[in-house]
Amino acid sequence: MDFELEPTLESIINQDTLKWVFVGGKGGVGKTTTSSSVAVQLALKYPQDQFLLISTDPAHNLSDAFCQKFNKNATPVEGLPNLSCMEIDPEAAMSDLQQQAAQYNNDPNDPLKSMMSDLTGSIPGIDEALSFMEVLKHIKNQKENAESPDSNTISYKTIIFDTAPTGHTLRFLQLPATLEKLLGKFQDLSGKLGPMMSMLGAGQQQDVFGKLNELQKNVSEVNEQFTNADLTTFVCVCISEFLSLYETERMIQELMSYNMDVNSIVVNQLLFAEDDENCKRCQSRWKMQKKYLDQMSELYEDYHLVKMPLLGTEIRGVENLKRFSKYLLTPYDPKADGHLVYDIEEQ
Amino acid sequence: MVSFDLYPSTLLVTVLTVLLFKKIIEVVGKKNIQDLTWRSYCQVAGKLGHSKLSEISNKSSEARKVNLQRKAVSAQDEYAKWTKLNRQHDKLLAEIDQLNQGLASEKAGVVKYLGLLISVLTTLPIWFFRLWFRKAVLFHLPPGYLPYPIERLFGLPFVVLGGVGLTVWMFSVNSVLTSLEFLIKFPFETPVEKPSPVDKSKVEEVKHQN
Repeated sequence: MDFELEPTLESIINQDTLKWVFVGGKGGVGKTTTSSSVAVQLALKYPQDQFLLISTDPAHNLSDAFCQKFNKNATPVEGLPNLSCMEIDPEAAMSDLQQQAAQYNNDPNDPLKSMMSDLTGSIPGIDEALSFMEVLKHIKNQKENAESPDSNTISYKTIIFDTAPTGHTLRFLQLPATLEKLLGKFQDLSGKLGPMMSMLGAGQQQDVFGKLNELQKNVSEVNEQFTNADLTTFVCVCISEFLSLYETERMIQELMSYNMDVNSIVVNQLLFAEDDENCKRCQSRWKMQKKYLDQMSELYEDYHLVKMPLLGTEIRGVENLKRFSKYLLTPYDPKADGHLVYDIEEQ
Repeated sequence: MVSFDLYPSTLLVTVLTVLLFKKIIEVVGKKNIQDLTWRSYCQVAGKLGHSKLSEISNKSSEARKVNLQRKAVSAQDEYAKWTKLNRQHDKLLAEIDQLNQGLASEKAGVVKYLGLLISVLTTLPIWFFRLWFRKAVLFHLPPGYLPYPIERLFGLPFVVLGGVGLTVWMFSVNSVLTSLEFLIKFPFETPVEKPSPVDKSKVEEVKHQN
């Protein structure tokens, strides 16, 4: 078997069926830049369709990447109207949910009052599942809100996620089986204890179980979508250093254990310093980066390995992103495209 | 009626043996014995062709080999090789884990039967002897050698006056064994520091504020 996969993200951009693109990696490797670049390229490729870029990182930096203030409502990017961005803090969404529950239920003697938080505390992953569901609900609401005033239906062709460095937002994917079992038990329980509970005056709290059932349904639905390689893909971002590669390997193994499709790795911040005789440090560092690149191409031969250069400044603003993201599709050639390094305008 | 009789000397030695056995188990610990037995059961049964167990032992020796290899490789210089070994190791561990889970019920069974066997071998004979030989006389004391109340005590519960029965014999064997255990263990115990008198000048008086 001697065919190499092209070192670009073209397959992702060209894949017409994709609905979800996740971009993940450890902090500081250029996740936000990469996810913005992917989003920009998608938006450029399909000008007729709408795209949504979401950051679930509590340390939001989409605003900085696009030099435009975003909030938790989808806002179109200036200069690229078919791409919208939003910044959501899943934790905040979560506490909103709990507050809602607390408001709804203001009986201090209710034994079931703390049930929701106890539950979310006791099962690993359910926390993430709930917060992720909140995010999804929020996206859905966006669509509906956008529908009514403009009367033209906005439905996003692809939603790009800029995940938090921990990537734990996806941990719930391993849990559908556990949840299913648990909720099955709960259903039994609510069937058996239902009458007693309503006697205790907890009638309205019956819908705790209802909520959990709904959650389970949602989780398995989402799970089905996310494990379908036609609909969802994951782009790993790393830099060519030992620890970053190690973490990436861990992440890929974890994602594979959730049956998620991972076929692209973006190696960021490469120096390409072969012809740079003046900078000894660049050369020796580039030598080190090349060492790890070689190892990577041996390890990940069935992945798209995209090599991206380290530029002179931070990549900010739509125009700069457009320039940079071009090289996600055509491999960066340091000789021909070297001007890119200093081309980026400072904002 | 079933008759079952032993010479007093045989009875004496048998009881001594059983109590010694019980003491040893107590000192070693039931749990340790069970663990040890399970481990040796795994080894023996694995060699005798227990498919799962031999698979586990194969896999774990392989995992150990891979781990050694991985440790011999520099992670930073030969990242690809190291990671491949890592993957292999993780995979083996996961497989072993799964196999072990499958064996859990078997382990529970072995441990349960061993526990039962230990109880039967230690507790049951003692109670049997106590009941069956409740009237058996192990020793005779010269008549009038000890004051009446003490002779009565030695004869508890059902032995004729002037004889020494099983209960007293078991009691004395047990206390000798406990003392022996103490004597053997004592030198290996961590010494407790001798308490030194508290320097009064360094103690601050706590005043109660009421």
